[in-house]
Amino acid sequence: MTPGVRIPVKLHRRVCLVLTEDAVLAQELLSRRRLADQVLGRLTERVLLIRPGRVAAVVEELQAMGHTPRVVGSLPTGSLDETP
Amino acid sequence: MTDSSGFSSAFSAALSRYAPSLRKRVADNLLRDRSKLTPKQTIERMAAAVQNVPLIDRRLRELKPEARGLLTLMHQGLRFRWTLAHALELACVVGSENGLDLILSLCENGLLFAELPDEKFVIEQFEQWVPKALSERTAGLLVPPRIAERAAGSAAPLGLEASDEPQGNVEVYPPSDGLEMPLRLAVLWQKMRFSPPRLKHWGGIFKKDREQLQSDPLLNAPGPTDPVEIPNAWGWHFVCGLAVGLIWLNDDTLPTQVFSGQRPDLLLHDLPTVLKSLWACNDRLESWLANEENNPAEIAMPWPATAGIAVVAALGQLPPGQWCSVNDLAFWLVRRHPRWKSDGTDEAEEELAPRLPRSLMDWLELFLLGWAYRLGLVEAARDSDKAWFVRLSNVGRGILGLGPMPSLPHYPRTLLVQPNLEIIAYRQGLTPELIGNLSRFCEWKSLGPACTLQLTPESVYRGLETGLTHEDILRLLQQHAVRELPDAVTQALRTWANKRERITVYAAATLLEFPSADALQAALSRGLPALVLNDRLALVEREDDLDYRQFRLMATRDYGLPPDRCVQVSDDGVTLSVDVSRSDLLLETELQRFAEPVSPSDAPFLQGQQFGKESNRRAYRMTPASLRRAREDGLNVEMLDDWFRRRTGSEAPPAVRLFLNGTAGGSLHITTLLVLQAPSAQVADGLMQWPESRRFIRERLGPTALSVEQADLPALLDLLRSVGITVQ
Repeated sequence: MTPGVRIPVKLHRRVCLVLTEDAVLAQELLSRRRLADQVLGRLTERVLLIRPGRVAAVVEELQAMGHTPRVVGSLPTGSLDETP
Repeated sequence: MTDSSGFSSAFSAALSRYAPSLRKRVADNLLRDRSKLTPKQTIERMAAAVQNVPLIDRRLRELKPEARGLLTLMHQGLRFRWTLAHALELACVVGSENGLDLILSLCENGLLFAELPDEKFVIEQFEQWVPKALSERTAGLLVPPRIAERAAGSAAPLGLEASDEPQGNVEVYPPSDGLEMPLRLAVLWQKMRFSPPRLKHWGGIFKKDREQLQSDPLLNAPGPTDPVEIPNAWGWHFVCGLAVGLIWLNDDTLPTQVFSGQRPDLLLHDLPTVLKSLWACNDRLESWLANEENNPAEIAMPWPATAGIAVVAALGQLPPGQWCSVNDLAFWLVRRHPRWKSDGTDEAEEELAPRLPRSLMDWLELFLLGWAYRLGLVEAARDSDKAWFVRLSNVGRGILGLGPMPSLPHYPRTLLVQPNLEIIAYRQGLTPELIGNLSRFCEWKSLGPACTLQLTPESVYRGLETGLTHEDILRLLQQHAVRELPDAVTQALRTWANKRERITVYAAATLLEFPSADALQAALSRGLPALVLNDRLALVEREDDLDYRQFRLMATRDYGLPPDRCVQVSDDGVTLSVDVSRSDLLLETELQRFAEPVSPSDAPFLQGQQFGKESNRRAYRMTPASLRRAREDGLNVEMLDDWFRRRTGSEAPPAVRLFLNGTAGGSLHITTLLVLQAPSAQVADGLMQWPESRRFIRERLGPTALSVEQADLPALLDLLRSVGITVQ
């Protein structure tokens, strides 16, 4: 890229993601049925794309699996009641 | 007076409800300045006047002693907002014959301000405001904190006389350290995070949730020095938690749920601030216990908030260290407070004693020896006749503004952290701030002279989620531990903190999608603070960190909004053209389930604008193989139809249905047919319409083409010949 020239970019806002330490962990999460239902797809081998508005359900399921996920950004209160 | 932060806005709002003539009259009385002022200037001058100490002192000197007494009690209640009913009760306590006149006169003189939240209502006269203020809970009086504070210096005597000192074998209870309520509130905050109770729409708690709270040992257990047992103490903590904003109700959910803040903010202050905030909750207990469901049988009486303020204020007028019997306070109350005062209450104590309401004595003991004692306001003693005596403590005098707040002992090293991950917290060194911080990452196990807490993976995880770091936790424990932290503890903390780093959930991340890997690398070299996800995608935790001067935004997608229709189906029914400028990340992953990307050379129809150096359209193709794979993954025609409707605006193309469903139960046949070609569509219509010829025609293949079975041909030719039609 030429220095000083603005870099073209597409911005994706308010994306719900799960980022795992490694690909195996992502695969383990996908094999959990109740979690896989909330996953729209696998963006990369370590990144899972979550259905909008379902982050709270994902965090709850991860905790039920014994994981202690770091949550970045606040979870909406009452989000478990949101329609998918 | 605590909670004065919201006074200015409340004051301006209250004055804006005054009619101009009323506002001018009040301003004239307060300012004594006859200059002509605009409404805005009037409000500004009055706002300045209620902070002006010399002016306030001049106005206060002109007041009757009862008026100064009323303002003093309001000051000692530590609130600037009062209901008219409460103000009337306090006016009676200070000896006013006509409390309403006293209050209206203070309003006329600009020392109290009438508040009315109804924006349509304008106060023309204060008399007109009174009925609304008595009927609406939200209407009330504002007392400027500075005025109340200055009035407290010249309060009228409340008439409580010092009783005899306790006699005989006196049991003096150790003064409360004031930590009992902060500790219970910390427990409440933790509990509300794990299992918040649900509330019915009229305010009561669901029975099952209520029973859990009632049986909770930490919320209800007596304190180590409590003089009396407190029935259903959890209710106090619950109300106080709500009043001070430690927990709150979410009315958006059904049923209403209770939520805990991310941090126990109230507790992250010094002890005097916390105790003042809790003392100011006194009136919330009254409204809580006014609901029968919340008023258990053990209490079974109202909670007269103003009586509590009056009693403590009266104790404050006794010489420091002077005991007063609870019995004498009861006599004083029945003669002063309108809840009990009647014609006969001025009689001598001997005649009045048999008629003292039992509920008054019960409440006084609960209030003084429970609530006020726990807050550290009073000290308690019991004489050999089992009669209770109380006196205002130095902390109490500090809270009421009657003296300096005593300096509290400071023992920073008060935690014994044990290898089994249990922490013993010696009470002498605890502070609300330490209690609040420990509550963020430890579970309270027991409360007593030495409290115990437990470090668990879950508690530490929750602490990290409140914003603490592994280093913060270690530092706090090291700072307050009486000896070096055991290796097992530091190791466990490190392990648990590392475990949390294995999975990160982003609730609302910002992703940058670059047209090429080079573009992404260029952005990184210019200092983009991002986490690289792949060769074209980078994640930014805070969008504010982006330097937009470095970027040219080609498109923006918000995932909080419904997905865009950004896909077109080409005429072949299997090739999909994606408008990259409108597409989202979900689309890419959705497409991967049933289509394969097509390179630009294989998709000559792709033409359009440029996205960087790339085409702004991408192509995907659905093949029998890709759709077979999709079907094996559980995708069916209905799901695809739904996807095509959302993304293209129409149903799945027939070719896709063919690949997915085949012939859907039917089968294909190959057969030999004769085609009868008519010279025009009209002739073909006639052959189809005439019943004699129609029976020989198998089906219409096109506007002029009809199919005929070989065996029927001779009969059809004979028929046509009979009507004069020849066939070549």
